[in-house]
Amino acid sequence: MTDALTDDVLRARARDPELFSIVYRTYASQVLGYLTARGVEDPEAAMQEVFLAVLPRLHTVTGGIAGLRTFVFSVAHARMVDDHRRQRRTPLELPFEPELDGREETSAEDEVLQRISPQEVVDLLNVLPDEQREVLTLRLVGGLTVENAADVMGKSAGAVKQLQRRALIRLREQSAVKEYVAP
Amino acid sequence: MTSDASSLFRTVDEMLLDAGETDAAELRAALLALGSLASLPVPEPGPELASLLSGQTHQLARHRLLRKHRPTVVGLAVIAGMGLGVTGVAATGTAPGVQASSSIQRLLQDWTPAWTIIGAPSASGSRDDLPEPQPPAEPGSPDASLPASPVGVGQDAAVPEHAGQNRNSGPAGHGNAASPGNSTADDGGASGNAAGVSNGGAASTDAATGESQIPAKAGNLVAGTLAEVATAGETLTSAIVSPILTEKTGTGDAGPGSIWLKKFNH
Repeated sequence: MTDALTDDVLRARARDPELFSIVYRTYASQVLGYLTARGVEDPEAAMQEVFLAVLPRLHTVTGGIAGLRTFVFSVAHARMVDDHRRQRRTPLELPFEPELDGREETSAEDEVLQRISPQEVVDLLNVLPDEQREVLTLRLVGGLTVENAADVMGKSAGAVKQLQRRALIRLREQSAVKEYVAP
Repeated sequence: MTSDASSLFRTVDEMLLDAGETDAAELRAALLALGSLASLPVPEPGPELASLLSGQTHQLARHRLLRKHRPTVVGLAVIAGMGLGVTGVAATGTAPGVQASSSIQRLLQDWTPAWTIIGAPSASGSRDDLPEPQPPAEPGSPDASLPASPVGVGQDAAVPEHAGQNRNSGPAGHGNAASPGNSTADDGGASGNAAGVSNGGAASTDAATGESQIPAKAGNLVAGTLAEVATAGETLTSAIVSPILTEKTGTGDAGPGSIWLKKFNH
């Protein structure tokens, strides 16, 4: 579906309600995944709020599909920041359904992926400093390039790459530890 | 989703390569698992989002239909509105019920409708993307435009006389206006549209919290009245597009408004 969206289509149909549905269907699960991974309190509700903000502003988006993705996740990022500010007063909770669905993978990858549950992933992410966590989530859940992730975070591409590298090293240390303690 | 999966693998491998971590199976697994959060099942859109996604489509369809029958709409919206105006209106879900109708009638007794077209040109802010000055089905839109410019667009000279006539007819069975209104809505040729208007009026009022609050925010019953009249007028109008209406308007026994309406149709 994403392939059907081009810059021109986007601009021409900016207020077309069908476009709203297409955009929603295209990005909803990624935004939900992003907000979940980032420990937002009510990811489903937050996800809907993101689209309530995004959809009426589609006509302002430039840069084609890449620009749209960046825009969507900029809003999601802002929503996340907002949520974290609120959460600082209350205990952090991850209301997470450890059920993965809708993926078509090869069986080899399936095995690998099934070894780690989503909840474990989120827990694993929590060992990372916030910005490293953000980079990984934007890139892997949001599907953003380094440049687009940099836009969302208000950083340079170089800074994002640094954060990415450090995140991987840090995670690896955690994974290594996990390997030793695994039953 | 396969293309998303393969792009995930590519990204993970690229990240690992960049960090010089090509040998870390667990790390790769963790990153892939993180990426799979992008495939969580998505819940049904909540009411606000649902109305944004689908309410507009509904709105658009209604407007296309009305646009097609515009001449009829313009002429008969007036008639329908006048007829319903006297006898009270209950075609939408805006009003709570009988009590509201009585108050409406009391209000209408002293009120001379100076407008000749229901749902005059200027749409409210929420519908500014629609170029046509159509009478929107939402109670909110006519609500916003009518109190502001009750004079409307004068096109039918016959209206003022009938206005006086209707006014004097007094509060005949307001319940009867409800039945013609509802039955026409059900049977109207543009049934999808008409039904949509009367039922959707209620539904969209419920669904679109923003809009249902507009009559409340307007803070006065007259606005609600105008909205109801406009919407009911539109209901009848859409039904009028089909020939079935004629027999239906006479169905409600009594209502001088109904009789007048019948006269007009002959």
